[in-house]
Amino acid sequence: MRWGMVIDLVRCVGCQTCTIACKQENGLPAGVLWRFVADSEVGEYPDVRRLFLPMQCMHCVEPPCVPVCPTGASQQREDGIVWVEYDRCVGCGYCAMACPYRARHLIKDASWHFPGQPTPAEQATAQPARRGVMTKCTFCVDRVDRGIARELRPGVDPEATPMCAVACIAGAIIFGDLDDAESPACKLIKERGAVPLMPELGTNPSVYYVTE
Amino acid sequence: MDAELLPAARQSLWGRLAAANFFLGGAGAGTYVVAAALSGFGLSTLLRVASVLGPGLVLAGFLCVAAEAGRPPRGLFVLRKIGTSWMSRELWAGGAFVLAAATDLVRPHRGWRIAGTLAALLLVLAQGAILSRAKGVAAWNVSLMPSLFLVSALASGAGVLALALPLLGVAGVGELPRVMAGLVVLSALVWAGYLAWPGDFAFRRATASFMVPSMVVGVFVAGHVIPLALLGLAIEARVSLWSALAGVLVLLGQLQAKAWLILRAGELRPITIPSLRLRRSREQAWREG
Repeated sequence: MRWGMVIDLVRCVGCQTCTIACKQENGLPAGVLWRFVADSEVGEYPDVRRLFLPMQCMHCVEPPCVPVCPTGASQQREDGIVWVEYDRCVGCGYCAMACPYRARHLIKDASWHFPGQPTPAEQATAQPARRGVMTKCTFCVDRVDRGIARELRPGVDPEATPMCAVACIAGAIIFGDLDDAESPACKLIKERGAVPLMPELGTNPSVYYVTE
Repeated sequence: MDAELLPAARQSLWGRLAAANFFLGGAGAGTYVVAAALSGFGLSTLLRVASVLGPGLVLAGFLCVAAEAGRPPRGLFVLRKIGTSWMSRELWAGGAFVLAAATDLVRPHRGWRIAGTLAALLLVLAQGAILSRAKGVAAWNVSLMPSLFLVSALASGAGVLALALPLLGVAGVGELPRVMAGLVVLSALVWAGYLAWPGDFAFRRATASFMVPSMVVGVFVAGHVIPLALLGLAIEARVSLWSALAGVLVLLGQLQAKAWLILRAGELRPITIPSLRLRRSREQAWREG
């Protein structure tokens, strides 16, 4: 089993709903986004194209962030999900330098949207364990694990699927098992010729993009 | 060329303190290695000076980098992954170096000097390897990096000795100016080789920022050419003042080069995607039939 994602750039309208859904689901502090949608313009006049590119951790099969971690805080599960054990992380930032996808975010200090003190919502979601350590997209690992425990199917049942995929208004984010040839994600990669970002780096990402 | 969707952006996690660690660690380890080599691993005043200065500089570098970490009290966790992480290896090598040099001061023995020299060499190679494994930063992710750090460290170490010996009133070592001159030439060659490295487009763009007058004059002219001339004078006239001045300039040149490498050339790769087709304009479609 290898969890992965296919993002259909033709469908993406750049609404940032996935960005906000992720932020809310994971209780991220001000200024930290585990995923965001970049508004890109590619090509040269007159051959240009506006493209919305959702960016997040690629949960690479060969994650360059894991072996460089000096404390062993950056880890990869058997199902391919790359995660950070906060209690082990020293916050050195090396994994962020090793990641070519800008997917890692160091939460330096507690910062609130309004100066002085946190809002009730910020207080409710504040996680002291995350302060001073590296954080990143986890493919909503808790949702996935809880869903599997309830015999739900991640990628099919919303309760077992990462929040960004559930929230996407255009149905542009498909989550599933990339080792299962019959999964919708796998089929999409095959049928639409989805490609990963920067495959030349040899990281073998588990997030694919449909561009045409 | 693949379509560039997000442009390169300067990394912001590793700042001046990280750059200071790379400079101080290299200078400290280099000081010891050069002194040990010039002394033939025998007991000498030169090596005694290096046994204090070298570990001191390395420890100062570690303190700098610890201050930049998000959770400094967990610093010893960094020792855990010696099998896979060059950052772990850097700390192990640094610790072994400091321990060997300190033990040699208390209980002098040739074995400690050899162990200290090996650990110091491993420390600078590890620092270079840390950067060369950083796939996210094109200017660092090159295999030349450990060699660059090694040569830079040795040149810096010779600079520290050339500056420190007259300041401490220690009689100069006759061979030091000659050895230092050789290291300065080697350093110029390696830095030039790095800038001419046949890297990808992202590498070339990130390292292009070196080609401004302040960098070329600071690193190559003031940090290499003028020190060489001063060392020539020092060898001719046997005046340690020229060596000391050369030492200062070499140190400033290496500091500027490493600071540039971390702070300016440290750009996160542009995000690209392969085989992205662009819609052809009607005009182009008409032209192409």
